[in-house]
Amino acid sequence: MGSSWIRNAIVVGVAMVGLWALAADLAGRADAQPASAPKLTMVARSGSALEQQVALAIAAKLKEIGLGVEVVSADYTTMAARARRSALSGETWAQGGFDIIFFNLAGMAFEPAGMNRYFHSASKSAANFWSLADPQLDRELDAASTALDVPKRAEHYARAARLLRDDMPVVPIFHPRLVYALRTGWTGIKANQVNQSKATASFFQMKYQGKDAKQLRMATPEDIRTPNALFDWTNPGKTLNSMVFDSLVMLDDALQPAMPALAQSWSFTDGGKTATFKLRKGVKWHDGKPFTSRDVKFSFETRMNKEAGAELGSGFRMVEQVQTPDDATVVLKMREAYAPLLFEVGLTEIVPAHVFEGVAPKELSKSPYTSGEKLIPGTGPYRLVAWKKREQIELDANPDYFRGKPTVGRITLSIIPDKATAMASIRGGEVDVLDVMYELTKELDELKADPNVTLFVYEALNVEVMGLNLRHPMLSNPAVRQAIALAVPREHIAKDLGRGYLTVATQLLHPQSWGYAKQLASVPFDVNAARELLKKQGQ
Amino acid sequence: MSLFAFLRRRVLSAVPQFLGMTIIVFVILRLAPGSPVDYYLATNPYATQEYIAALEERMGLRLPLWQQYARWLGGIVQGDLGESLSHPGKPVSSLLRDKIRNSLILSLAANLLSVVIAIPVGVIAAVRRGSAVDGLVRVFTLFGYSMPSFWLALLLIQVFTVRLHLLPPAGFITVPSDAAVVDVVIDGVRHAILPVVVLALLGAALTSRMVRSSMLEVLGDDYIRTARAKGLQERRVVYGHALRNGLLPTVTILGLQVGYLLASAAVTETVFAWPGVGREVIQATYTRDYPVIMGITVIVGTTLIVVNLVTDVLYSWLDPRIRYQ
Repeated sequence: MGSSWIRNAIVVGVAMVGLWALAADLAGRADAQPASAPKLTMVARSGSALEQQVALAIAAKLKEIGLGVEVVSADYTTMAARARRSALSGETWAQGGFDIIFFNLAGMAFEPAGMNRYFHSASKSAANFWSLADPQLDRELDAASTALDVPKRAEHYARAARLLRDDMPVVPIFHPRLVYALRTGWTGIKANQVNQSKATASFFQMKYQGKDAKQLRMATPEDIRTPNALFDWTNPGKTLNSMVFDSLVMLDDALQPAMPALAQSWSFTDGGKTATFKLRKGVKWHDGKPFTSRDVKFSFETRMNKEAGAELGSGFRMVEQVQTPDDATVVLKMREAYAPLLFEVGLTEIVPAHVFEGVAPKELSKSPYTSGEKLIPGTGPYRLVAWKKREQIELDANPDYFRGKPTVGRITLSIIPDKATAMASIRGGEVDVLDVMYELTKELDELKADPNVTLFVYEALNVEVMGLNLRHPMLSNPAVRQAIALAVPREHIAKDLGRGYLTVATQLLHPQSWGYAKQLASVPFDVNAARELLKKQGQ
Repeated sequence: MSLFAFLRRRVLSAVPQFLGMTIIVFVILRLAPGSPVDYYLATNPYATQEYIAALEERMGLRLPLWQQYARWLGGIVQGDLGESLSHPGKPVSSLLRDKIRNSLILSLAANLLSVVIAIPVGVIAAVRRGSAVDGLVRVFTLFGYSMPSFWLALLLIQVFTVRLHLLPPAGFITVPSDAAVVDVVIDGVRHAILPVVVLALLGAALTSRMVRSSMLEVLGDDYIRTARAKGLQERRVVYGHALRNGLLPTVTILGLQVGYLLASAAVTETVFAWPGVGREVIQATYTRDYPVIMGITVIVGTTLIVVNLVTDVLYSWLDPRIRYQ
């Protein structure tokens, strides 16, 4: 009796002490709150170690100039959803949108017209996530898309670049380089010029020890969405599409969409409002059926049809009509002259109309040729033989390919999600080529040191930026945005964090792009100037 | 109670379990920010608001949440798991069929191997309690279940793939689809060795500890003393009398482990690029592919419920004192 009383008293006493300690700790934390509580939230992708390191490096500098920044990480989908909310209604991080976000702007790597989608005020609520609205910039971008000669267009883009530098809705940080790891002995890999939009590589002229090879085993982290090119906009999809399908035109070595592919020649009339494509004759689909203008019309019209829901949606919004006067001619009638038309055309792989015979546009995404239950034929260097979802894709060489017989007889694409496993696969000789999409930084040193592995590195031409929400009360001030841009340690990021595999970005277009503004002075890295600028603003 | 009445009651009680499980998963999924549309289109500069809205409409994401659930449940009742949102046109059932088979192969092989390791190890440790062997077993088990599976997996890959060039680190069946059956089998087995060993070692650590402690308990019982007293060989005492009773708790654990491995081998499956359910659920979560996640929940949940049922029946066979109560 007596002992249980004592025991209860002890328990209650310990509990009281515990509660008190907890309350004191909470109160202490409230007291210890720094005077300048974080005012801005910077979001970095949880899956990307590099992006997190970059965010932390920039946040440290922003703290130095007196801006409170908190770095949080979120998965890609969360980040994307927040970006969309901000684009729609300007919400900040606290309201469910973003304040500062990292983005890879891939859509203008080969064609500066991509700028329209990211920065034109008409693109607000779409890919203009930062809610930029600048009438002067709109005019330059519009003029650049309708002017037909390249030097004229370049002038407009140079002026647009100046406006964007002064307004700073996004801060350019670096241009990534793409890396493929190959087993030593493999040669002939090239940057992909087929479907332009995303930087992937071309494999069909690869050789092993100087000879044609029976098989090439590739590994990549992600699977395709669908083998139907019209419905896959992802990087893995683009890689596969470039092997199985063709577009009418390809990029040449100067990165201009000027190399004939399924179209042999083309001409513009009517002040650029009519484009006529003469198609290559004698091309056959992998199932033996002839390729005709009907296939082109079907592919373009599916892209233009909102009901179809083909991934690219509005890519052809300037096109009014697709005409096919005969089997080998396609005529595009446009509402107005549209300079990047060839680029858009090059972006669109042509899929076979005959396998979708009688399918309503709305039902195309449910077709067995889209879901992969049946294998879709293409015209490209490789024929799709099997798709085991999230496992493996098998491709066989198309001996009748119009650009020549592929040098590799068979390609297998294995899906290996884990980076460490993928690294072991190439080092252990289980795969021949490792695709770019793993984020490799310090692993590159390990691969470089391995005599069995060679690296193929090339410029992706896209740009990684830090996007600022212009409707955030603090970031709506252009001087604050300039101060932030001044405080970004680009050299440190490219050299130390990127291990030399990143190129410092001073403007949005890559120096190799014809739209790059050579004369434009870049914003330097100057913490003191940034601090001064902020002081003047009374921040 | 007859076996039939027992089964009927168990099956009936599984219905609310099933509904509760699906509702919880459905609601939690929708609490996560973002949708499949965000995953695929947010960084596609061509995606206008109008286009995104049309896509959401097609995917049925614009309906009120309860209607979406009711629709899904309606499909399930008719055996239709819906369509994947990240692979246009692909039915979830066809998507998961191979993955379930692959996960079951991995899980059953790993379980089998872990039992083969765990039972003798546990019995020997119990019989020689306090000896050096027992100490060794204790170290092994501690090591086994405190070691993260991905670490063990990467270690084995380093040794067997990078150093020795003996075993492939990733995939299951990687030979071309027109390869001979023999080649397919050899290829599959070679790919299965490392993931099976990882899962089996982790499972064996836990199981052998279970076996050891329940054997110790049983070995102290009166009927064991009786068996020894009537002059039976020690081997028969241990394996004939003690083990059968000592295995009871282990059977429960094993039953649960089949389902557990099916769902929780996700990390191991990802490291080894094993095309199974666990990897599928991780990918589906990243892409917010709701129908796929729900499909996996239903299948894994149902498997667990069935396995539990089988375990209960097995129990009464192993120990006739237990009746369906």
